[in-house]
Amino acid sequence: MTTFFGVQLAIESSGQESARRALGQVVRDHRKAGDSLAQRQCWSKASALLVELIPFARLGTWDLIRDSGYATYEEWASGLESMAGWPDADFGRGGRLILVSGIFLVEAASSADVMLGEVCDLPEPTWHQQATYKKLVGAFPMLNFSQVQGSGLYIAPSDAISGFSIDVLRGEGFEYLQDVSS
Amino acid sequence: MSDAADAFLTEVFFDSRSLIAVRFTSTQHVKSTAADLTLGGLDSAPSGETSSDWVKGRASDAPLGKRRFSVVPTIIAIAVVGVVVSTIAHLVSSNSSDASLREREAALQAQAERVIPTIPSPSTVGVDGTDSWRAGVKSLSADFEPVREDLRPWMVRTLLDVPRDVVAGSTTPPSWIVPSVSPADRQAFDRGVAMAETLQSLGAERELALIIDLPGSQAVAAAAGLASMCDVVITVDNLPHRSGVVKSHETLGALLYWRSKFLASRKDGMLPRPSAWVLQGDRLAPYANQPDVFDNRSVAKLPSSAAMRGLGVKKVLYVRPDADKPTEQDDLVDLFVALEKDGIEVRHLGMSSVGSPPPETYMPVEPPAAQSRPQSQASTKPVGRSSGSSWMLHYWMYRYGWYGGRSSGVADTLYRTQPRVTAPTTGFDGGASKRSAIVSGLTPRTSKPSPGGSWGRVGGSSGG
Repeated sequence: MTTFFGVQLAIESSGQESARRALGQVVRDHRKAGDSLAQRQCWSKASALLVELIPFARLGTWDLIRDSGYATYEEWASGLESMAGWPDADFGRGGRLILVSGIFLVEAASSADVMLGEVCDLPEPTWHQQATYKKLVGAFPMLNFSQVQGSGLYIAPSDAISGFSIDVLRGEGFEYLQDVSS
Repeated sequence: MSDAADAFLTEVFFDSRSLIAVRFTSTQHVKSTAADLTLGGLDSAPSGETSSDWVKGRASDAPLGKRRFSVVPTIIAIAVVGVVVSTIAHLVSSNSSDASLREREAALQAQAERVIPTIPSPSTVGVDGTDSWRAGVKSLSADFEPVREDLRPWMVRTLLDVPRDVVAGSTTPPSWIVPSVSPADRQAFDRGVAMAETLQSLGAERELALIIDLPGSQAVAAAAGLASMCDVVITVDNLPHRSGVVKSHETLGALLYWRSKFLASRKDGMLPRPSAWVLQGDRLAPYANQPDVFDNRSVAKLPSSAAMRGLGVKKVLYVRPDADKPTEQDDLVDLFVALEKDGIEVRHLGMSSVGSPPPETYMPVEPPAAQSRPQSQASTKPVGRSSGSSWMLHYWMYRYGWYGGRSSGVADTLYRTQPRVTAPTTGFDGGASKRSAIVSGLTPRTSKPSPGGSWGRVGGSSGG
């Protein structure tokens, strides 16, 4: 059995171009994966950049799914990867939002799973506060990667496109995104 | 943990305008994936990379997979799969979690069995030779709505509404929503035309109801052939699904293919014509709770005996596939018994007998009704070409003792439905209980909606 953990944030990239580029570079630098140490390095860098960007997050969502973890993981992954085929127009006009997603599949009942359970044990009113997202994103490198079966880091779009418009992210297909409050 | 368990593979890597992404998989958990590796859809490796660094699992090329890779030139995958499979197998840790592997295998299987149907005989055009069918994708329910108001409540929209819901907000229908036609469908259409010619010459009107219980696409094709002479009522109650017990996606393809025939016949809809009720013939197909099969079985939704009478029906011709094998499906037994009890005759017609050579004993008889048919009917010409086999229906009608003939004959005409114990059909909802998920799964994702929406989210978020 497995547990799924995923975080998705729509971040205002205007003024944060360097962090945006750095996130993209994290993906490129770590595309050869390697071992647990390399994984930790990858996710440490991503986490640090994301924590800095949390104040600029407009929308977000996260999930911890037990029992059906693998199916959820694949569902998120396939949905996110479908964005690779998006034409520029689908991101809307004049937007500067980037959608950053981190997904993990961990062994059920492992220490990584227990840690995620503790991190995600939050009162509902706080679920979409900046502080919560900082905590969630900060948990990425804390995972025991020998217990991580899979992970994915997604940034859409690349800096070749300005970004999503807010209308797109508040529209069809993104109804699940919630406003991130301070 | 062994050293092998500490290694990760890059499952996918994207560096395109729209997405930068990487997804890793622990080698501890690739055992089941390795066997699923495929060369399908592979692109060239990027400059400076060795092919063996990149692996793409079958999951990414599952039925929905085109959305992921078809338009991304930078997608990388291995060229020598066999080498990597053996490498991965070598790396697989002996202490892999069996439960996790089973779960992964089950999920991979589930993904391979996504809902998108495969259309066996797709066509780019409808029967009119054009792509006018595209206009009907969002309006099938309206296009097939009976002109006769008293028949409309009996039309079942379950299948007809699916394309509209799937393409909502999109300009291009997904690849599986296309017309389809098979040789068997064309034959069924010809037989339908032949039957229409005969019904016209017999002067059949609203007193006759044809219940067409053939494999779905053939039932639609036969109804298309009959449409010039009958008011067609679609009653297909089965959601389409790639792994469905019932092949209603083929029925949908037939509806799109023959649509123009039905539309052309609507102008005659106010004439006192017979009704033709289209059933999905495999609606009760065997199912044994197989986990990889979607249960979209249903039961026939037809008017009760009293309602039939209210519609003016006095005769029912039950059209099933094979001649001389008279029986009805289980879900029709009670109705047919009730109809007979209420004085509405139910007779059988094996579709295969329409178009067969006439028996040596056949003696053509001028049908009396042809001489007295209403003027309005006289101008009604069946649409489509004649199969030249309408003698057969004359023959049967006289065997039935209908329209001035006398009853006699063979198994089909002598058969009467008897009450019998039938298999339970409780819960046969055509898949309706999972409609939201099915329609969501059928929705194209090459553009919107995605990422998220239908694919990823169940209620926004949840705490641990």
